[in-house]
Amino acid sequence: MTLLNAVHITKRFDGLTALKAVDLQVKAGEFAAVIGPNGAGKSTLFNCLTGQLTPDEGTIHYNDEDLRGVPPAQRSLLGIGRTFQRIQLFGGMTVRDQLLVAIRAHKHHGALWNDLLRGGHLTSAEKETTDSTLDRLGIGSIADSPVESLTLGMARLVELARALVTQPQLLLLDEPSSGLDRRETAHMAQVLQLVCREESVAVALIEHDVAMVGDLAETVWVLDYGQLIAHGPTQEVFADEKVRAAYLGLQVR
Amino acid sequence: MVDLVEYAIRGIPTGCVYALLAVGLVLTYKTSGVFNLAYGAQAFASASVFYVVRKDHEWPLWAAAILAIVIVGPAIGLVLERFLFRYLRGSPPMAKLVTSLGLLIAIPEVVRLLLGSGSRKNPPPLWWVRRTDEWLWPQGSSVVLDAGQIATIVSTIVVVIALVFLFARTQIGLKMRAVVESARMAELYGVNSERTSMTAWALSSLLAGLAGVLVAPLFASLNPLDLFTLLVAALAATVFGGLTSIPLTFAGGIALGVLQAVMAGALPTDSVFATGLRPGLPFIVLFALLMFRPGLRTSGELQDPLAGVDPPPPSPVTQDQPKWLTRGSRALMILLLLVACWISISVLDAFWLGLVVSGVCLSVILLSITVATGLGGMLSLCPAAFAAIGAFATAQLVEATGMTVIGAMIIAGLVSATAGAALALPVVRLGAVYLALATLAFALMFESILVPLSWVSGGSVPLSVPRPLIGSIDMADDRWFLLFAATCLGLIAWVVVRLREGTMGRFLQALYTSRDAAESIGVSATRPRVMAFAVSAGIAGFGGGLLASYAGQANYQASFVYLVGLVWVALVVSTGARSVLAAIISGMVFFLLPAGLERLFSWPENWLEAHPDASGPVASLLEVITPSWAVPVAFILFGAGAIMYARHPEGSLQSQMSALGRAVNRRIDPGGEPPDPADDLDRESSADLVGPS
Ligand SMILES: Nc1ncnc2c1ncn2[C@@H]1O[C@H](COP(=O)(O)OP(=O)(O)OP(=O)(O)O)[C@@H](O)[C@H]1O
Ligand SMILES: [Mg+2]
Repeated sequence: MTLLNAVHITKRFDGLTALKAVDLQVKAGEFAAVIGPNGAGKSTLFNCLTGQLTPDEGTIHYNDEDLRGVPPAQRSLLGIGRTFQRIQLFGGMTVRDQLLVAIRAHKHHGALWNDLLRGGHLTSAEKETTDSTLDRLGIGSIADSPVESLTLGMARLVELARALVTQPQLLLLDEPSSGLDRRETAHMAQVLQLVCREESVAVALIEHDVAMVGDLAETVWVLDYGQLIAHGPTQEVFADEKVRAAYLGLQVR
Repeated sequence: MVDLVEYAIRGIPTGCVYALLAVGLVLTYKTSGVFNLAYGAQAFASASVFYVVRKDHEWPLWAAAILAIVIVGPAIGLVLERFLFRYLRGSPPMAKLVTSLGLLIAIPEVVRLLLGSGSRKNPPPLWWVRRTDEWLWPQGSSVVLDAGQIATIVSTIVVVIALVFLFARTQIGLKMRAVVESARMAELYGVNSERTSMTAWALSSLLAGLAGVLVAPLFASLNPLDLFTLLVAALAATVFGGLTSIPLTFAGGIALGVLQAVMAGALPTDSVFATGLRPGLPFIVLFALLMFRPGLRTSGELQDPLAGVDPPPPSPVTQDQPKWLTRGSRALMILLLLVACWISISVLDAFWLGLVVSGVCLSVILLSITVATGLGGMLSLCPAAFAAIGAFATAQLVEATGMTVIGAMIIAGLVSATAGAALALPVVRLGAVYLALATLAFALMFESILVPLSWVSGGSVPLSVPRPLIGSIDMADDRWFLLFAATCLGLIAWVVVRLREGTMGRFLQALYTSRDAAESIGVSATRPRVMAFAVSAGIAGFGGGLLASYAGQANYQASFVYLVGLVWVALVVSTGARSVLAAIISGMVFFLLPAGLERLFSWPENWLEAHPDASGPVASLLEVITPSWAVPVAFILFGAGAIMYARHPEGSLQSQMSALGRAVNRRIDPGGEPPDPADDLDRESSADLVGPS
């Protein structure tokens, strides 16, 4: 069943057309990858899907619901989670607080009188949830560290944990391995596989690491200069001449 | 129709004044990345120098003009660049704005100290002809332009053409823009960023000086408030030009002047429109432009393309304050406040007691800034407007319904909160600088349109507000009122702390430090901020009612003028935007410091009187100091605090506390520095943590 269905997405920045009638479909529980050279429009596509940008043309349906005019926060409540190419963690908070904000936003715990009458302290249920999420990603030991002290690899995992704790059905990941060393990348790949297989979360992954895409992705969508030049099962796409010319080059034999 | 054309032509000189000021602001913003509210203060400084040398010392015009515009103007700019803004290049827009706010407060007072504080009537024109000589233009029409207006028109056009040329055709214009975008990147290409930025500041300050000298004769006497209000009016043109386009800004300024003149002519003179709308028009236009000009959500907040290689920016909260210190300082604070109350009641004489009570009432108002700016990250520049709404509402409610004063204050708080929510709904989606401007526009709309109305303020005679009466306790006694006000302060402080530590505080912090990420996990971008704004306005309204009740009247001119609100914001933000204690200290300092300084500065006078035969350098030094220094020095200190904000974004109080915490930690654990959390999470160990299992 198609979970996310984006059709003919076009986005212009002044003179530049960053996306030209791009389609993207992700089925429930599927692992999809979006690849393409720098500046192809991959991040722009994700920003359109999560509502940070409004596409000039095209429609986005999620679970058959039209997302036009739905604000970003609402899309998260519908079950779309994401991470960012440039890490975006909340400054001045601990790792646990990052997750806590996500949990409370999803429980609609924002009411003023709630704070006044009960205070905003961490409940034991919340502690359990955050601990187990962090443990699953192997970063349970840093739960109470301030985010400013994290290495890049940890910060990427924390961002992932923050998205996961909202229990999304669809996870959009923008270059989760960029800036990581080999071991960290391997660990990240493992975590992603786990998330997709065992929790049946659909994943759309932007990634420049072609080997990682080959290992993980079932389908691949290739963007070049804002256009979709190929899509389909991973091996077929990797064999495509057009794709090799535009992006893969000599990376794949 | 002919009439309208004539009115329109009459608006052109005013339009040129707006355009000149607005273009100068755009130049500063484009070349330094600072939205420089102190531009009005710089203009005031040059105009004052011009006044003094031209009128008091009767210098020839050319010499006075060269000194005031070509020497003093750029000199101020160079000093500001060298000692302040150079260090602020990478800071968030809010830090730059607060710094310029501090300068706006401090510079005019420095000018007063240096040049004397007497009032300066009839500022001299920058023109060979006297102002009264009138020229007819165009020939045969009845429109009359005087020499000063023609000078303004000519200078504005020359300036606009020169600036357009500068940016379009010259190397230096290009370099300035490059340095603003990213000083580091520009340096990689061989641009000397320091020299470029100094040139930029010198140039824009020269323009400020020119504008100040040209505009000063429009007013009966020279004072910073008038100049700054005119500057805020000119902001409409600046925003019309999107803060970047000089031709558009010029067009906007002219259009605004013409619109104002046409409205003045076309509308019946006795209607509300003429009395309220005409002076308020620029602020309405500014507000409307901010609401409806597309693309203001993020534009205007320049991002260094190299910022990605930096560590994340420091956040407003510091984590390195140990828990025991938080708890200890909180307990100490409550204890101190109780002791202070007791001392005030038992020891102080009526004069100082009165100041302390006013300080407590003001502290309540200032907590509204803690909520909006400290927790919400929104630099709201209209706290005084909400306090005034509360004061007026309290007075009107008591008068109309005869209800108890305390009840009226609470309802007034709700009224003010509603107004706050209504303002917040459109405003919170704006970026930091534009939000600040929108709230400033609101403050001035309120002042120019609503305050004169008698159903709001009671007209020219301030509305009276009685003191509360609980049972047989009559608060007419200042000591009882102090206890009452302190109780209110305690309650509201508790609310603020609860919100800060609760879900609300976390949501606001998340939105402030990374809005996109907060939205991506389901935090609404508007709801928490609108709520924070409403709570803030409610607190200000309640505090306004309290202050009015203590003063016995809701007196706008005495307590709530918008510029006073800016001083409050500067004080609170620089002491510690998120800290309750900082708000209380600020409230106290605001009233006690000027009075204390006055006592201090009157000491030399008294001493000289007691020793009439004293002579020598000490005596002549003492002679200079007079009690009239008190207010200027106090305001310079307030402003200097905001300027320091650049170095300690968490506020001076917080930075002292953190330093104390670290020092004590070292003492307790002499084994070494408290472990830097980054140390035990270095690359080696982190690689282990996330390594293949
Ligand atoms: N806010 C914006 N305003 C103007 N242009 C933009 C904006 N965001 C992106 N672009 C442009 O759109 C194009 C696509 O950018 P995008 O970030 O989507 O590329 P990408 O495929 O994610 O590249 P990378 O692999 O480097 O992350 C680029 O040319 C970029 O400069
Ligand atoms: Mg990208």
